[in-house]
Amino acid sequence: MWPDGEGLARRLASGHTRKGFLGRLGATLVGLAGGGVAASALDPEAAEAYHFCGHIYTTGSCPNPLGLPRIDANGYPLRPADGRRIDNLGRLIDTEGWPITAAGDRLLGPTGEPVPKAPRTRICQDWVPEIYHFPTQIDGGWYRCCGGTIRKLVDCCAAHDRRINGDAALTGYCYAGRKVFCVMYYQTTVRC
Amino acid sequence: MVETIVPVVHGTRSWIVSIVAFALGALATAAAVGLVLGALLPTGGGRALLAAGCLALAYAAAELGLVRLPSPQLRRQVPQRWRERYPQPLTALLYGGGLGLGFVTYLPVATLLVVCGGVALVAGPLGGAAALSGFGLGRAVVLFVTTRGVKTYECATGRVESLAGWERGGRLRRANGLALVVLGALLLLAAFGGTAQAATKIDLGPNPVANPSLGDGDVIAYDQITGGTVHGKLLANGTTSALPGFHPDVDGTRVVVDTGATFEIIDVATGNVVDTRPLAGSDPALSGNWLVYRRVVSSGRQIVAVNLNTSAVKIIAQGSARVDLGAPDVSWPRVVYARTGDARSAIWIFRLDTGYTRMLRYASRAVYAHAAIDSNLVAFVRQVRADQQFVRVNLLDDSGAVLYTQPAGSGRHLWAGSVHSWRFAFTAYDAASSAIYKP
Repeated sequence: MWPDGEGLARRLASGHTRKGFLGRLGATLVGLAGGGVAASALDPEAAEAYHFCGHIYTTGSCPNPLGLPRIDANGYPLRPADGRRIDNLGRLIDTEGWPITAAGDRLLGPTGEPVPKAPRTRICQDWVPEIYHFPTQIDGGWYRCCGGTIRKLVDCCAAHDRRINGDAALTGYCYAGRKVFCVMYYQTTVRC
Repeated sequence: MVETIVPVVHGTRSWIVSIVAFALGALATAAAVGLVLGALLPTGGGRALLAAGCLALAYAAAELGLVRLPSPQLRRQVPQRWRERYPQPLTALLYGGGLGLGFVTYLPVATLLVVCGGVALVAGPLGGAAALSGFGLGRAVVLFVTTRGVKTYECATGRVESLAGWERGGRLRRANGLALVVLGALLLLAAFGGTAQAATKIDLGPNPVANPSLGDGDVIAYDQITGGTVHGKLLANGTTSALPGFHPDVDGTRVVVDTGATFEIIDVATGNVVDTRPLAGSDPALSGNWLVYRRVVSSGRQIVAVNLNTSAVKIIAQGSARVDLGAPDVSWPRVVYARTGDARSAIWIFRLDTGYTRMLRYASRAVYAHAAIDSNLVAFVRQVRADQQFVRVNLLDDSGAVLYTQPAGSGRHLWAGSVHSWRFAFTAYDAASSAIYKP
């Protein structure tokens, strides 16, 4: 018998349910259960990937700087390889938004001055409306085990019949009649 | 309609008046269409040329019967009642206006569609008006040629039928298809030429150089980097001399530099310091009585203008420490600078005479930086994920052009540039060196 909430966390992480409500509830429960409980409860094998790890369906990635739509908890882009923050051009940046080298030093121009900053905006809430000209919001989420930690797969939803692939958008995963337009992911540090 | 305007109806004098009226009508409405189309989308660079070239080739294939593509048009005729209701010159003016619109009447070929698409993608409003004026003028020229010297109704009818005969057997469409192939090829060549064009390196010696500022003739001031230190240099009349500071900016016979503690203004001809301003800041720029620069204060960053006659100070722009305010440039009465915050990067123009500020270009998924200005020309570096571009914009008609593209993955990056009298220069650098080029 699992402790309270742990069974649900387990199902969320290993099953196929990804209703927005359950996703939100699951996120809360996983957080409450804590890393140790989740580590013992969740399927240790990485989810199979059709699109990227954890995403076996066909809805495409939301537009992003580096090809894979990895985001932080607030929806801003991260470098897929290591989760370091990047700007809208895909450059590594420090906490103030200035471009940095892999070692963390400010990126400098030929005369020793910092390279100009670039904007950093949210993938679903800012990039998609700017490119596709309709409002979007994050509704649904579901969980898989990827790279040894829990990955939250995030639906970027819109009141729009077509998804980013160009064909019919999936219904049933977003609220208020919205449909999944594109997907992103947030890699937690919770081990699995 | 042609039979209404032929000289046999109202005589040669009225015919000439009608032709002129027709031409004015056609030119006016065609130019208006071009103006609107040109304003629809931002003026495009290499990718817009590529899209326009592909559009031309696609419709060339349609004209040659290889594919089927839509050709939007209303296929209406100009109203016959106009010639019964109005005097002939007014009728001709209205007919010209109607035909100048293009898509409301029958279009036997797809050329206008391609031109309109190209105008929307590539040209600005004035360029669009000029391009579509050619269409209006063409309609008038055809009318002139087909009605000139006509003596009888039979002759007029014969010419119209002869013109219609060009369309038989698909000859007109084939010829038009080949013309569109040529147009598409030229556009594609321009597109790929725009991204692969070579820039000429300006020979300023073996040391790394950056931050050019162009002046009259061969005058160019720049920074030279030796041993990790930046020194200002001035090349004038074939002679290079050292400047007492760095980040120089040329204005006519003067050049301003940043010495660290002060800004010094030097006479280009004599090398004498003519003015010293103990101002805390960096990246000074000079135009007439105005000196602009940027500085960091406790509340954030600012761009400041100083009137050298009155020492009056004007804060042109300011932002928090998170906002990146780029080095300003000034060409009376305009100051140009780049501003990048968390949500947007933009080129701004401030007018010293009116205090009016406007945003010239902006983007959230690109970076605008290193703005320079001379009179009505602005140049800047635009960086997107794919590549970096040195771009110019003509403020008179808002038209723009990509002067140089540095592809992503080349290891080279673009830095500050300059514009003077339609001459341009920019910095390109990599991990090992830095040089100044002219596009």
